[in-house]
Amino acid sequence: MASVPSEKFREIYNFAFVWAKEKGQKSLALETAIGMWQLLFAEWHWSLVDHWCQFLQLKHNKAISRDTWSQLLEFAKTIDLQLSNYDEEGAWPYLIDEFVEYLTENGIVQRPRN
Amino acid sequence: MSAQKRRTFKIEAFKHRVEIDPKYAERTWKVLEHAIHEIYNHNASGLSFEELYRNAYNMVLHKYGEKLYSGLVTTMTGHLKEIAKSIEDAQGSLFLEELDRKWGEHNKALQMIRDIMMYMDRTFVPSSGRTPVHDLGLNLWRDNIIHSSKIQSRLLDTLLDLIHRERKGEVINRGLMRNITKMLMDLGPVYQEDFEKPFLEVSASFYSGESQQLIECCDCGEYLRKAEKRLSEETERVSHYLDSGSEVKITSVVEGEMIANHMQRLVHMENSGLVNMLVDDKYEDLARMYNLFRRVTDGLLMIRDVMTLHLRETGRQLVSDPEKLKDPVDFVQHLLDEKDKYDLIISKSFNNDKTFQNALNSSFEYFINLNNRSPEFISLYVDDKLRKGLKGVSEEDVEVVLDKVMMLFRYLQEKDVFEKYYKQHLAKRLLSGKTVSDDAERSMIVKLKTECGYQFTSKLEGMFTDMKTSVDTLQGFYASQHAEIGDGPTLAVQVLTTGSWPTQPSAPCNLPTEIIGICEKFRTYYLGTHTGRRLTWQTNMGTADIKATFGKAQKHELNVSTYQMCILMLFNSVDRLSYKEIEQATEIPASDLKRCLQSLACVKGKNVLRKEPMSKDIAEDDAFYFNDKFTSKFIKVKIGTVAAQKESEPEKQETRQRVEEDRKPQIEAAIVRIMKSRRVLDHNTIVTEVTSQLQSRFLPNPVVIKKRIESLIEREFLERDKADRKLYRYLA
Repeated sequence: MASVPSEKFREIYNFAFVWAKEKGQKSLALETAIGMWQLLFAEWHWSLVDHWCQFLQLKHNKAISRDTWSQLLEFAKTIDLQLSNYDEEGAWPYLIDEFVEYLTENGIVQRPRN
Repeated sequence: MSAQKRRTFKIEAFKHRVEIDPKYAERTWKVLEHAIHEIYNHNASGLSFEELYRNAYNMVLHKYGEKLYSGLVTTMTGHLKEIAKSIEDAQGSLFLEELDRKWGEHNKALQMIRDIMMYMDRTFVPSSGRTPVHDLGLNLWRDNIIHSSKIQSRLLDTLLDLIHRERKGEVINRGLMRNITKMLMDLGPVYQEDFEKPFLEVSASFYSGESQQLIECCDCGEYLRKAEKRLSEETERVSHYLDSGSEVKITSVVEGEMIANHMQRLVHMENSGLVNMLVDDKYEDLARMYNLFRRVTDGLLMIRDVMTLHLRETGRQLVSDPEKLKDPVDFVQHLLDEKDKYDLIISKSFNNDKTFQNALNSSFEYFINLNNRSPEFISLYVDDKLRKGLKGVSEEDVEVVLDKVMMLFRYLQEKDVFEKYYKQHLAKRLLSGKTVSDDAERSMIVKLKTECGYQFTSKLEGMFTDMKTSVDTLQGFYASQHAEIGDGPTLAVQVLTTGSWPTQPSAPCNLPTEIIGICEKFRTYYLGTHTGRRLTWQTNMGTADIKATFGKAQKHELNVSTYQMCILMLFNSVDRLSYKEIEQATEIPASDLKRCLQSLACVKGKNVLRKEPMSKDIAEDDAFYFNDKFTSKFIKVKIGTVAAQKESEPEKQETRQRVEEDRKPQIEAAIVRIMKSRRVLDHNTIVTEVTSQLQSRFLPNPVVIKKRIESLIEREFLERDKADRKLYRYLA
C-alpha cells in the first residue's frame, strides 16, 4: 500500500472541498467532487478512487456532504485494499458503508472471512 | 485452778491408708454380676434395687470403679454373644422378629443396669473418660449383634428384600420394619452406614431398571403418572418405617432415575410429548409434568424452552400464512385465542410461573413483529369491534376485549405505525357516525394514553373535540338561518382541525348548484364567528342522501359519497354522459372517479347508472346513462364506500413511507437530547441510547440513526472529534 499521505496533503484535500463548492451551498456537487477526487488522488494514490466514483454515479447521484468528503480520506488512509480492517461499527458515514457493500457484492474486493 | 491453755480439738486422718479388703470388692462384684445375669434371664423381680445400687456405689467409692466397669463390659458381652447366637439360629421370617424381641429385652435390661450403676455413671465414667452405661450398652449391642458376621449382611439383605417386595406390590409387616430401623437409628451412624447407603444404591438400580422398562412401553402422560405414584409411595414408605432424613435422599434418587435421566426423551416423545399436551390442552398432564420436572435441575428450563420454540414456530406460521392473513379481524382473533389458550395453561398447569409468563410474552413479541402489517391489522380489529363487534355487549365485557387488544398492542415494536392506522380508522368511524359506543371509544383512548402518554393520544382527542364542537356549530348555524332555508337540502357539517385528522389534502371537486347555496351560507356563518380561519370542503370524505325516482315512479333514497352525489346530480339535466364529460364537470381526480363510477354502475343491486359497454372496468371512452330500470327491494339503498379495509399494496407503501418520514424528526430530537446532556459520545453509545429512548414507539433502524447524525453534522449541531473520529461532540 502506498505511503501515508502527509499532513499537508490532508490540509489541501480538506481545503479543496471548501474551495470547490458553490458559495452558500453546504454540499459539493457530485460532478465537481468527482473531478476533484481524480485530481487529488493522482497526487497521492488510492487505487479504489475509480470504483468510488463509479459507485457514486450509480447509487448516489446527489451532492457530497463535508463530513463524507473528509471521512473519505480517513478511509483511504486507514483501510487496506482488502477491507480487512474495515469495521461496520466504525462510525463511517453511511455512504462509505454502502460503498463497502457495493465492493463486496460486486466481487470487486474479496473480504477475508474472519 | 490455774488457767490452762485450751488445745484446739484436732482430728487427724489415719496415718496409714485404710484399704478396703480386696476380697470385699470381689464379693461385692459377684453380687452385681449375679444380678446382671438375673436381669438378662428375666428374673429381675427378686432383686433389691437399693442393695445393688449400694454395692455399686461402694465399689466406686472405694476406688474399684475400674473393676466394676470392666466387669460390666465382660458380663454384658457374654450375654450378648448368646443372644447373637439365638438370633442367628432363627429361620426365615422369624429372624427379624427375634432380633426385634431381643432388642426390646436388651433395652429393658440396660435400663435397669444403668439405674443400678448410676453413681458410677456420674463419677467414675466422666473422670476416666469412659463411655456411659447406656451408650456402652448400645455399642456392645452394635458390635456383638448388628456387626456380627452372621447377622450383619443377613439383616441388610432381609430389609432390602422386604422393601423390594413391597415395591412390587406385596404387603409387608411395616410395624416390624419400623422397630428395626428405629433400632438402627438408635445406634448412631449405623442407620446411615449399614442401611441407608446400600438402600439408596439398591433403589437407584431398581428405579433405573423400572424407568427403562416404562419408557419403552408408556406414553409420556402414563409414564409421568407412574413416576408420580412411585414418588408418593416412597414418601409414604419413609413416613411409615424409615428415618425422616431419608425422605429427601430417596426422592432425589427416584427423581434422578425416573425423571432427570429421561427428561429429554419424555418431553420430545412423539404423539404424547410436551408439544402434544400443549396443543391438546392436557391440563392435568401438563401440571404433572411441571410438578415433577421442577424437582430436577433444569427441568423447568427444558419445558420452558420447548414451549417457547413451539410457540415461536406456530406464531411464525400464523403470521406468514396468506390464508390466515386474508381477514385481518380473523387474524387478530387467532392471536388473541392463542394468547388465551396459553394464559389458561400457565394458570392451570404451570402454577402461574412468572418465568413462563415471560417466555410467553417474549414469544408473542417475537412473532407478532415478524409481520409488519400487524399494527394495521390490530387497528382493523379494534375498528371492527367498535363498529359492530361490541354491539350489545356489557360494559365490563367491552373492557375485557379492549384490555386484550392493549395486551397485543404492547407487543408491537412499531407502535407509531399502529397510531397512524388507528387515526385513519377512527376518523372514518367518527365521520360516518358508525361507532357502537362512545364510551368504548373513549375507554380505548384512555388505555392508549395510559400506555403511551399524552402525546400519543392528544390528536385523537382533538378529533373527538372537533366532532362535538361541530354539533354545536351546526345548531348555531340553523338557529341563525330561521326561515331562510325552506325546502332546500339540509346540510350537516363537521369542521375538522387540520393536523388532528389524517386527511389527505385534495382539491375540492365541483359541487352541484343545488347545494352550493347552503354551503356558502355555512361558510359565511362560520367565518363570521371564527375570523382568521380558512375552511376547505373535503369533498373526498363526505356523504349525501339523495331522493331518486326511477322508471315506474319508484322512489328510493340513495346514500352515497359526496363524489357520487356530484356525478348523479349531473343526470338531472341529461340522460347520457361520457366519462370525459363527467370528469370535466366534476373535476374529481381520475382514480377516485373510476372507483365511484364502478360502484354506481357495475355492482349488482346498486346499479343506479348504466354503463356502455357493460364491462366491469371503467374505460375513458365509456358512456353512462341514468338507469331507469333500477330496482331494489330496499327503499334506502347504500352505495358509498365507507368501512375501513386493509390497505392495498400501494396504499400500504404510502403509509409506510409517511411513517418513516415521521420517524426522522423523532430520531433527530432524541439524538439532540442525548448529545445535549452528554456532550461527547461515541457512535455506538448514541445508537443504543436513541434506541432505548424511542423503543416505546418504534425500533429505530441504526442506518437511519447514522444518516440523521450525518444530517445533524451537516447542519452543525454536531461535529466529529478531531482526535477520535468515532466520537461526536455537541455544538452549542
